[in-house]
Amino acid sequence: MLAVWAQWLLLILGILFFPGIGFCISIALFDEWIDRKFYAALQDRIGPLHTGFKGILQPLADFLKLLANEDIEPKAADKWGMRIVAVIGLTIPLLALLFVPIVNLSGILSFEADLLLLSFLTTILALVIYLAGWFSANRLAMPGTMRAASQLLSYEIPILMAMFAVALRTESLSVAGIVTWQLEHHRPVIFSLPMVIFFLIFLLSSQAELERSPFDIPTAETEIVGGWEVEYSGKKLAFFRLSADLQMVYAAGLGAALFLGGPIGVEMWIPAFADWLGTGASLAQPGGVMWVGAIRMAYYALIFAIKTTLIVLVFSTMKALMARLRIEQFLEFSWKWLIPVSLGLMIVTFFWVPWLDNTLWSKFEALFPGGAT
Amino acid sequence: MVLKKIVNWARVKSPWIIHVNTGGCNGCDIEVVDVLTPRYDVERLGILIQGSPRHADVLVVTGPATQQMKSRLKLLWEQTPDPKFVIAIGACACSGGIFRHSYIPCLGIDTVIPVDIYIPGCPPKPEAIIFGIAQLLAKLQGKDTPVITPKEIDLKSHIKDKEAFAI
Ligand code: SF4
Repeated sequence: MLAVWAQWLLLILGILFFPGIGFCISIALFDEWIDRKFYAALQDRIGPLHTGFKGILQPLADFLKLLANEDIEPKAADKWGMRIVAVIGLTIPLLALLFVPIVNLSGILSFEADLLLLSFLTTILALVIYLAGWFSANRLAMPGTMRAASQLLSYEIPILMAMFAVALRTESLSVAGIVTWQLEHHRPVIFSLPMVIFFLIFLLSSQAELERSPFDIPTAETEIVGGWEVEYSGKKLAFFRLSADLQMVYAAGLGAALFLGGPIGVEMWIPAFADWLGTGASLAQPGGVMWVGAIRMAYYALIFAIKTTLIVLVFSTMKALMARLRIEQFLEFSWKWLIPVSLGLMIVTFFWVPWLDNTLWSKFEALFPGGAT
Repeated sequence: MVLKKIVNWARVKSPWIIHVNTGGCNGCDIEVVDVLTPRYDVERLGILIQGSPRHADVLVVTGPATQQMKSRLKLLWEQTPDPKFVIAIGACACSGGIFRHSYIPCLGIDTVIPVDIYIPGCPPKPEAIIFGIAQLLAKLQGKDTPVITPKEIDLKSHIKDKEAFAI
């Protein structure tokens, strides 16, 4: 048993370094490198090459350079507003990432119904971007801001639908509960039929929330030169760019946790392995074996990194394959297609899935070595 | 000291550019675009093209300083955050080129803003532009020769359709 102060110390160290802020920032920079390299490869280019091994330090170099640059604040802008918004824009994805399971079945912070908090945080993020454009008082930032507001608000709804459809399916409102459900039922959520489509909807709307091509209308470089972030330079731009990377990791991590089983790898189908991992020590279960706990942390972090990177590869494929849409085509796509489809699927999930579970799946489940649940 | 070194390393590794045409004939602009596209791909050196001068470090200027663009070029230069560098691409941007002795005097852009690297040519080849950028990066590191040592590439191994090239 650990003393109370040691538990608190471990929790704070966890938030600051390993599964928390330090780990998240490094995996965000790594994923930006993967994204840029893969995007370049799809365009028959090479991408970053001379910074570190195959350019792996490129995002870090960009970040450090922006931190050291001059920070210009225009005369007409709301100076304190700009500063506060830049800091909040960085904090919110970091806070949200603490709820995503990385080295455990639950995040560092987790409680019943934390899915509601996560949906709240994504909405706040849209508001922060709106305010960021508004405070900079620039006539090119204004159209970008308006586009960002309409885009983020209309694509928020399909994301929330997808999140709550999973909650409906697994009968749990917490991310930890959803991950545990997948471990107990020996299958990721994506294996049930309507959830595949929800996963696609989630990926598509995440791409829109992240403002990446084909949905990069708010920051269209060639028409409104950077949209809402046009006036930001130096440290604030560095914060916003890091925030965008963190949001990408957060979207990928949440998608992995909700649909693909989060940090759970092959032990989903090998119960003996899962039981052995379960004997490891953790903060929630201090009595376990120490070295098993360490192995489990490393193993889960590795699986998490693999799954998020795969989702990021899907994101960059989308970015490379499609051209930018016009704003009204784009809003039409959300309101006329995505939202009705996800609403209909929601109803399907509600009525059809219990039947599917009881009759169809129980037959199929006998095929797995994991046995019935 | 260590901090200064790290910052300098970051600066050398990620120069972001903004492309400004101050009234050239568009020949140099095509070459600049060439440098950014797959064949020459300067993202290898960490160079990204940015839309807003607030995000950029290097102003890449093509074309002479015409009367209309003088004040705007100065404004763009002032909007770029410190430390900023200017590359003049093409004979026009260096000295005025073919527009120098026209009925309205258009001189090089160094009559408006300070220039770090001149890349002459009408238009300069993409290789020349990359060499100029490498010179700028070398200047940042306090050296006089470019930083990047060229690698030998066996071009024959890259030929896909071997029979068409068989001699
Ligand atoms: S240097 Fe030559 S190619 Fe370049 S803008 Fe001037 S005239 Fe055109």
